[in-house]
Amino acid sequence: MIQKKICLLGGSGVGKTSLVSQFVHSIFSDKYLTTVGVKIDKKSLDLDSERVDLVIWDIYGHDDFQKLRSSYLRGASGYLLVADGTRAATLETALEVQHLAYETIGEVPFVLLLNKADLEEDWQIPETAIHELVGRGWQVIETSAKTGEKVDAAFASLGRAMVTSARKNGHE
Amino acid sequence: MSDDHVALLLNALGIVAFERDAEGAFRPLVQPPPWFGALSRDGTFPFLGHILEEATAFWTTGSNGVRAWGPCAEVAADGKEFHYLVKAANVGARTYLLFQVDESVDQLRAVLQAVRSDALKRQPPRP
Repeated sequence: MIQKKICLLGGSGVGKTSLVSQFVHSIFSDKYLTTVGVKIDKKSLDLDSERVDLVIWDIYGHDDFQKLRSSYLRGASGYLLVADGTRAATLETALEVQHLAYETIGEVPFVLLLNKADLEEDWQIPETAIHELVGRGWQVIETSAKTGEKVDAAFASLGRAMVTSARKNGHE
Repeated sequence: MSDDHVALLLNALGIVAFERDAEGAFRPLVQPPPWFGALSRDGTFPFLGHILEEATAFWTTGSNGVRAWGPCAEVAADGKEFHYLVKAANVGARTYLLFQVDESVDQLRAVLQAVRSDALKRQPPRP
């Protein structure tokens, strides 16, 4: 059994808590409740022949009111970086947070989630921006915490990347 | 002071305290209250991850004092969210792990909820 700490990072109101709630409990609520501090959840992930026990740290949103504290990131093997596809500014916040994460925990696997994919008509993130990030080697997945679209796939994708990274670095 | 009095005092303060033995196992000072079941039922805390590593490093220094991490959030059995701090304490030769309910976070949360909800409403219209 492998245990990995992962973090959900991004601006406020992008749906980090909803993604965890959908992934862990298969529940979605439209009501916005801001997170203060960190909410820790656990879920096992079966990846091909391996089981990974995820310890999921859902960390409060980084914004003008509260900046991300690097102490929350320590010990993380990977993270899901979340932006709200209907608010282009949250992608900028995600880039800022990714920079902070890189400075704190170095090069660990991460996946960028463009959440609220169910709100197609309000989508603000241009394809060119996504292509540019994919060109940098980023993995980008459009998710919907509301419908559950690609939520499990996003966590599984990060899980696989962490297992691969651990093997490569020789400390599984 | 009897165990009953210690239990009453800790409960009144919203504190669940474990003494850490030489092998690194945790023994509750008194029976944890029901709300603590949302965090751990078996006296192990793997979800704390690096917090336990940092706490262990602190305990092994042997210097008197307290270190704190958090706030952390959890949902109680009644569905209500509560916040708590995790603390490591060195008191003489004894080492403790404490979980302390932090009701002051409720006020902070109310303020953040209001300003963030307002900020979401003020999003610029789609170009």
